[in-house]
Amino acid sequence: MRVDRRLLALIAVIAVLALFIDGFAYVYRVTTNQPLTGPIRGIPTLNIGFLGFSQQIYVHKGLDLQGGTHLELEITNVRSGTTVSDARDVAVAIIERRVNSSGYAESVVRPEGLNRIIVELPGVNLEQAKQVLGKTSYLTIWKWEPGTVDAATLQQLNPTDAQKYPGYKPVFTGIDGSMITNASRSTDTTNLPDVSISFNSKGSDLFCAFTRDRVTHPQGDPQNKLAIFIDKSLVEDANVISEICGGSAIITGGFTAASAEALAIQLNSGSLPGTISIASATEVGATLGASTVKLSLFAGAFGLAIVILFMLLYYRLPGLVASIALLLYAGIALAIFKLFGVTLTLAGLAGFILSIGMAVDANVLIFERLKEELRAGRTLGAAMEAGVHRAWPAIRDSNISTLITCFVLYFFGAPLIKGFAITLAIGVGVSMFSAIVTTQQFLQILAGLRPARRLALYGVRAPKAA
Amino acid sequence: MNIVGRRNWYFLLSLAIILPGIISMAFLGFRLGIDFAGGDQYNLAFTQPVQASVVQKEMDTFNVEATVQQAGPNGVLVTTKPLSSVQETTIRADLAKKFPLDPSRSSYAQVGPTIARELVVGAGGLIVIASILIVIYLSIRFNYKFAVAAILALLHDVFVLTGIWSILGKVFNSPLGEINTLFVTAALTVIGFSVHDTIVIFDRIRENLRQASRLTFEQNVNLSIIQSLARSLNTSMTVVFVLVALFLISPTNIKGFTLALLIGIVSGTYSSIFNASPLLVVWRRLDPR
Repeated sequence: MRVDRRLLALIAVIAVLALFIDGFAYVYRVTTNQPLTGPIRGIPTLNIGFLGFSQQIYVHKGLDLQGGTHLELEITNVRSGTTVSDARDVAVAIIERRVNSSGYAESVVRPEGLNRIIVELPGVNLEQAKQVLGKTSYLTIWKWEPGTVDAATLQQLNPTDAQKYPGYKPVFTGIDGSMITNASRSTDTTNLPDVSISFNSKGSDLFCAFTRDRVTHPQGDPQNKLAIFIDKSLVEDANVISEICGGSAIITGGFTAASAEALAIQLNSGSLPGTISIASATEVGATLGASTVKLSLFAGAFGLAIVILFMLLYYRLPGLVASIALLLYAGIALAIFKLFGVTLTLAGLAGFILSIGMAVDANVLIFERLKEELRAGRTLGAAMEAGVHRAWPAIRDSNISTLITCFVLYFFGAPLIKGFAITLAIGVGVSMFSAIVTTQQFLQILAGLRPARRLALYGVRAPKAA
Repeated sequence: MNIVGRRNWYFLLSLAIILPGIISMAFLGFRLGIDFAGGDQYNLAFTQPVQASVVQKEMDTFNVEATVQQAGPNGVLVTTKPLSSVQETTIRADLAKKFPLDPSRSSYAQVGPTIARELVVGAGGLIVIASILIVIYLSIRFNYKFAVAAILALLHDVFVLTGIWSILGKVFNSPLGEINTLFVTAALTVIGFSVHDTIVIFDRIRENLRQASRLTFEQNVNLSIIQSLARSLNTSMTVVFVLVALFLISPTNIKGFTLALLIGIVSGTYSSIFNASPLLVVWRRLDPR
């Protein structure tokens, strides 16, 4: 095989692209005084519609590397009339809203399996995370009627809240959080914050009848008021100014923007369609994550250094070629991780480092064959071609069996194992390209250079026959 | 060098390593991490040295079946039965009050019983599915004898690794020998590596068999092993170098992972040279077709 100009051009294009993806962001970050990790300000999100691809290009670090809290929530006691997967999706939407309104950047809320939800909150500790998720609050709306509070109500509600108005007792209206479809912060005509809520049809009817009854009482009378309890506490005790029919209502009453937001969140969480419990939780301190990154960077750099040193000493000139191919390999793999937003976790890094080993192996296989062919007295060009040709079945079969393992791990494994599988698979794929295309083309260039034809450069003594 | 001729010695050496492990697995079982047993685990880092025994005393007051182990001079690993949210908060607050805790270097994990059960089933299943698919692929590329020999070598490595882990965890009671998700990842890596290594030698045998030669099957296999030896050792040594370095500098929570990889890679290299290919010869003798 000759030097293939088209292949060389392809390698060059890929190398330049990879270097650009790897390096450009850092140049931009340094010149604009931004931190070297995390999302970048001032760069639009790359959007490739047909690939379903929409993100910024940077290394997405897993929680074990950047610190934060990972929760796996389980939804149980789903309300009758709702399927588990519907309940899960509703809960995902609600939790997402809560998380976003808390302003935690780069958080992830996504469904997992039939009844699980994964929540990832970078830089947030477990206590903060629990606060965001809240308890599984249950919202109820009560009215005040003359009378004394009975023991059963005192069990359900905080005694101080239940006995707010002497001579009046809270009576449940039958309206609860399950009837609220959405709540959000809004502003009234004078630009003061308030909270809009939407009811489903049943809630709408009940609320309409309830408010129509309440407006008949004069303002200031507790019987004019609408009492919203979340779990046991009274969170809102508002005057009813007019009857509210049509499925939506506005709660006013001295809100700040923050307290309106908080109530909206509470109302939303009050409509969680089941009981949410924590099935598993992991919290990693920020410094711990950073030291793990340092460790893996060291491992990667040390690994590469050892490999390059070994290849130079053992295989001489081809070793140099392979080292260049290997550096290119690392650059391309990193660019792919960035491009496809592969989240790098510790297990993922392990997969990547393992794939370096496999990339080396492909080169070692080729060079061993090359040496054999040279010893057998072939010319350099022929030996190089035969070396790659005869090493190929071993490279192909061993890498395909590794890809089979990756495939099984990715589709059936737990999230942590998935991360490992995907980086290993990318690594194996790129390493095959690196060994078969890059190394081979470089070798062919060498074969054409007169000074590179001395066999000693390949660690082989001139064959006796020659 | 006659590796195939001395095969029984090599098989014996493998047995000598695997048997204690199997006995340990059968009678003592494994030291299960919270990933598999369910429970809570605090990986606590302190700003100054703290003795595990002191933390143990404190944890005993909570009555949550806590075990505390030293992890470096400035750290401990606390494992408890599954805690409620309130218990967890209380214990954390108490520890932060009584010890010089550094939250930014600490970590915490909680695994509920349902997830733990799924993982146990999942990990075993993954190894089985991957093995079956690899057997199918190798049967197509080589033949079923090669495929079975490769899988036997793979099982050898899995047994060496799990056996040593059982002994580490149960006999030596070391936290390194804990079976957790990272260990499963390591085991799966080892499987990938083991098959990879075996296939490279098998490829050489396949190639040598195709060429007409006066060599017997046994001589052919031996020749192929020798021809691949440089490559096998070179590749494994580079990986081993990296892993040894990683093992030495890893923090406690990753040390087990790197150690498992190290043992598995060494075992994988050994089994592909000394077990997988000689097994082909044994099989050929029993069934000379």
